[in-house]
Amino acid sequence: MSPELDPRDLERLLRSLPVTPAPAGLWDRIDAALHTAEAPAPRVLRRRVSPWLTAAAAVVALLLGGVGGLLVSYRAPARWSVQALSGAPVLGGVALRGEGKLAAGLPLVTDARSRALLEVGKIGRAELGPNSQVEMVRGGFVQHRLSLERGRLEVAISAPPRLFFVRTPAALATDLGCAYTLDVDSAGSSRLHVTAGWVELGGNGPSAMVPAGLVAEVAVGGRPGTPYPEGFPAEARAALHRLDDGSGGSADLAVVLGALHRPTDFIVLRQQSAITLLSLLQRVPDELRKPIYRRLAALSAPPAGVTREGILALNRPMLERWLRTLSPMWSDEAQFWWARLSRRLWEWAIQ
Amino acid sequence: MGTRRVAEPEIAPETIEGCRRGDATAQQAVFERYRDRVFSIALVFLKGERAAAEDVTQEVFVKVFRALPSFRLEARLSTWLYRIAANACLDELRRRRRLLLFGDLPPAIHPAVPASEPAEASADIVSAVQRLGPRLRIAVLLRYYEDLSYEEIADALGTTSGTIASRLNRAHAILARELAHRRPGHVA
Repeated sequence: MSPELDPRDLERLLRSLPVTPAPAGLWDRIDAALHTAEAPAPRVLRRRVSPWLTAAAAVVALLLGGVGGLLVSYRAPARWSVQALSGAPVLGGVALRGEGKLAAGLPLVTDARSRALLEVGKIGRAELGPNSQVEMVRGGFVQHRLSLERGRLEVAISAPPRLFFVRTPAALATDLGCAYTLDVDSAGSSRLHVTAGWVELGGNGPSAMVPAGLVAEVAVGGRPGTPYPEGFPAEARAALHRLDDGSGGSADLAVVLGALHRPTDFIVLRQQSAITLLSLLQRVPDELRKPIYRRLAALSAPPAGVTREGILALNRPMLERWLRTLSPMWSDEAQFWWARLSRRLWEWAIQ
Repeated sequence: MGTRRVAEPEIAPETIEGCRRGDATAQQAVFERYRDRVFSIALVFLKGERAAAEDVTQEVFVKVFRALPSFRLEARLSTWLYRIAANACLDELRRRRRLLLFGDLPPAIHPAVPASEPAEASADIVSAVQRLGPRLRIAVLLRYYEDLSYEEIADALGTTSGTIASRLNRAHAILARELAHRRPGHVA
């Protein structure tokens, strides 16, 4: 037998709920209240706001609050503190003794004996090396933009991605939460060496995402070259340049492969070389891809769902999946739609 | 001791018209017709607190008579009145929660007045209904005190009849368990 009451019995019981007589004298109270000064008309037909609408409004408010908080936290000040570390850097044509303020349009120049330290708003620091020239460029609301005309800039930033940019004659380095060194030679060519996190290096053509431990170069008017591991020999760099610009062949590839890390090396080093090879694979003709694949697979086993044929055919999802196993930050396309949307919103908000 | 409900006809249109004009006799006739039911709903909803139930009943009729000039004659007065009663009960509960939030009042607003004891024969039924959550409780009271349809309850509570059906289903399931001892032939 069911341990619950039968529905018909329940209904019978509920219909027998007792009616309690209202107390005597209640009418007199009501009558008296009706003859006192009338209160504002009551909202007897009040319609309650849907809980879903309330929840949606709360989510939107949280998002706006979060973005607003970030914008306020990372707002780019109009003037940044500058401190002479050695020698006498020149700020706006005046020798800097001690501290000064860098404002938009004021060049900061060092000679062979001087260095300077810049406070990049509230998000980090940048050290200007000898024989260098940098200038603050007015950016967006929270964007911090510098222009490095020549010399060396060592940067350490702690902020959400895409708040700090350095423009050189050849490239645009976009901070993705990192530390790096950027060198600009007399011809304007730029060399980026990332020491922590990631940097996006843009030039003429597709950008290169450069992770910690790798170096990328770009000449004025050129596209960023394939990133290569720190300490790559000069002849291997030259061979890599030839492969990048399409003039290289199997002999150049052999030089590059000989200079890269080996399967017996430490995993971080193997992954750095694997990223180099995955980038290079997309720039060389068909006949050079097979040896690159073999070395790549030896350094880092292809993840599930990635095939040799797919990689050799430059299948975009497979390339991205492999890159993602080497670093989850590699590919925007690999992110979920809401992550891409959030990034677009963030970029729109900080413009 | 409580009395049993009996079906009552709607208020005559001329009585409603009298109320709209502010005729005290007509207003008193409406009050006499609905006072016990409104008071009973408030009493059960507010878990037997007589003084609070009296206040709610007074508030309901004052609102009704003040708002009657804007009442649409094609609507049912009883449905409209119970909508006001339901809102007054829920408002009272919200007001208590707000006050308790600040910790300046005990749960009973009128602690000096003892809670009303329901008739012994139906005490367990009333108690089971009182243990329901506020939204289930008010739906049950409008359904079984006033015999309102799902649509009328939905209209009174500002929601859909589907929601009311769902709430009553949940309430029935809870009450069927709580009142299992009322099964015919049940031995405790």
